[in-house]
Amino acid sequence: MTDRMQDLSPQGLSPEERIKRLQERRAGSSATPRARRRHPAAKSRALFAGLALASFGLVGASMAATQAISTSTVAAPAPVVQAAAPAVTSTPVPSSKATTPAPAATRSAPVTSTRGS
Amino acid sequence: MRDQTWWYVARSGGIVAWALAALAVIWGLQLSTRLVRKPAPAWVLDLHRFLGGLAVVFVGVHLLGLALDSFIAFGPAELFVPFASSYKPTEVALGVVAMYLLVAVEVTSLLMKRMPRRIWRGVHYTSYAVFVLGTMHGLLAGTDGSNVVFQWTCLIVSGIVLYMTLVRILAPKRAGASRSTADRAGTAG
Repeated sequence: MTDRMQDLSPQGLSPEERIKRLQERRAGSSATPRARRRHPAAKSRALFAGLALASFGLVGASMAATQAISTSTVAAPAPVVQAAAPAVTSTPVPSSKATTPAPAATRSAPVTSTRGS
Repeated sequence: MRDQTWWYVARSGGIVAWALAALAVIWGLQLSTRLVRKPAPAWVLDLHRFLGGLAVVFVGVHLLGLALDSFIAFGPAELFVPFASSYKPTEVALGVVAMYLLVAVEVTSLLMKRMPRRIWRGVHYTSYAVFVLGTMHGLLAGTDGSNVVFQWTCLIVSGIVLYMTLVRILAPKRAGASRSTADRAGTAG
């Protein structure tokens, strides 16, 4: 109270300066509780933000892992198909068709043999 | 793998955004119905607001992933204009409309004290549409719509939202009483 009286005392202060000081004091007094005020769910906010970030990473990682697994399982039969290639080529085929690439021959060997050329 | 990173970001961001929006709706319904007695209204309201804001952030992540993914090549028109996408236009439009409604709900909530309560409440009711459209968008437009875990999660969460909505509609006195509590908490917070 005494401080306020001293601050607002007219000694050596112009009216503009007093008004300015008073406004600063009011702004400071209203800003202080706002700055100090905490959110009621501050900890829960942090928890949910962390959970959201973690689930974002986990979901993305699980998608990538699922994609990698499916890609590897799709790529796995390729050697089996290639292994079957000699059996296809062992069938009586005209010598002119033996120059066809192995994957194409294995994928469509019966078809090409029936279609001919 | 590197080519698909943004695709995973888009999908994961979309799923997390949907989950956060669903949680925000459930928290809001808890605020108005008070089905669970224990949590304080101020705590529920604070978390309700935060979850809504976080949902908007993850919708942004979803859009960022879609924009930066080189395979689907979504531009601003496909991201922000309904039915502009050549890929499943109706299903994608559901997500675009849901995004706009979510942003409208969030903006009006931030400006709640500067606008008539009736307008705020009318816009806020569209959060039900945000949830429904977002769920349909995830199930119909998304790659993960065929995922059984996602389907069951959508079913369970939709059941919870439906149950709480029915409680709110069928118990108006209780909801009205708690709504005034929530309003008080809102004006205080």
